[in-house]
Amino acid sequence: MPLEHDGVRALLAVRHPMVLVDRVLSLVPGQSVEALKAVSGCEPCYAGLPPDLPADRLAYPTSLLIESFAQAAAVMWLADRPAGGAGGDDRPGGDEDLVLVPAAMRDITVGDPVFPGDVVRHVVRMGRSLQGTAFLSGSSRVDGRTVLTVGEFIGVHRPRSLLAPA
Amino acid sequence: MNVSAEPVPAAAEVPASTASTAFARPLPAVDAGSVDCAAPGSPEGTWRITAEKSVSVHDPYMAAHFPGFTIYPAIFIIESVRQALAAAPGLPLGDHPQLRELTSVRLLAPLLDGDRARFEITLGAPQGLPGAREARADVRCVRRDGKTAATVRAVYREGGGGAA
Repeated sequence: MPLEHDGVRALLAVRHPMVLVDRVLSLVPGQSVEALKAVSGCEPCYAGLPPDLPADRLAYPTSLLIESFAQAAAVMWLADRPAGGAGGDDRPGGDEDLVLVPAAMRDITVGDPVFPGDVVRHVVRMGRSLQGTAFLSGSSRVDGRTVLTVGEFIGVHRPRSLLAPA
Repeated sequence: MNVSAEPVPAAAEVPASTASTAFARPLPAVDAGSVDCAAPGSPEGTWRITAEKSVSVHDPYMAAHFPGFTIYPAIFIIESVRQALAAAPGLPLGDHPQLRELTSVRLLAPLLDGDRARFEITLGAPQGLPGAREARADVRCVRRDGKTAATVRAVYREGGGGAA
């Protein structure tokens, strides 16, 4: 069940330039996902930098790499929701208006750095899924090199309305 | 060193650092001038670093996370720690430390637009050869109202490795 970028955008609650999944290669809703994120030197994280920076200063921020993985996980979870969860409309809170909020992360190992021109392939799998809580794990690779290993990523279901400011 | 004359996008804040200290980052994740660093009394002691970050919808990426309600992403808390370590005066981890491991992260309360987060970092003495030192960080991120927003245990290493 592949998704092109329009399908990714329809599922996720984030908007440009925070959409950090480009394409989904395979998806079993609620169980597993393989997704791609192409890293480019034109992304906002490369704005405002001096033109003569050496290569190692241009490594893709690890924070964004982990966020990209988390969004692949969100696609996997959201695709399993009966009414989708990220349309951004103003339906009152209910089962169909849940979002997956990160609650904890454990044993995340950062491998080789990622650079513009790299295409990151995330593989995410659902582990235990207790009521209201999802336990995920997986890894990310570039050309077969491991760039990220995620031991445990825990998300909890929350009504979208609870996240809005009072 | 040549000074760049190329235009800078209005949405991105130009770092105050020079070319030798700049690195790719999603946003300024610590407030300028807010990073303090206390060296240990002995070579094996711990370092204490503090920093602050004012959460703003006007920062890069923030308007998109999420439209209509702005929440500082959990991963930007990680970014704030990295940038605090990079800016900490005298800290022997180089000026672009890299995250090597997130041992545990607990996210306890959201950071919303207008809040100001305070990062309290305890860093073990960096170990290893110069150029490849690593250190363990224990971090508490506190909201302006005193509530703990997150705790982080992580390992950072000196930057500079990796192939082009």
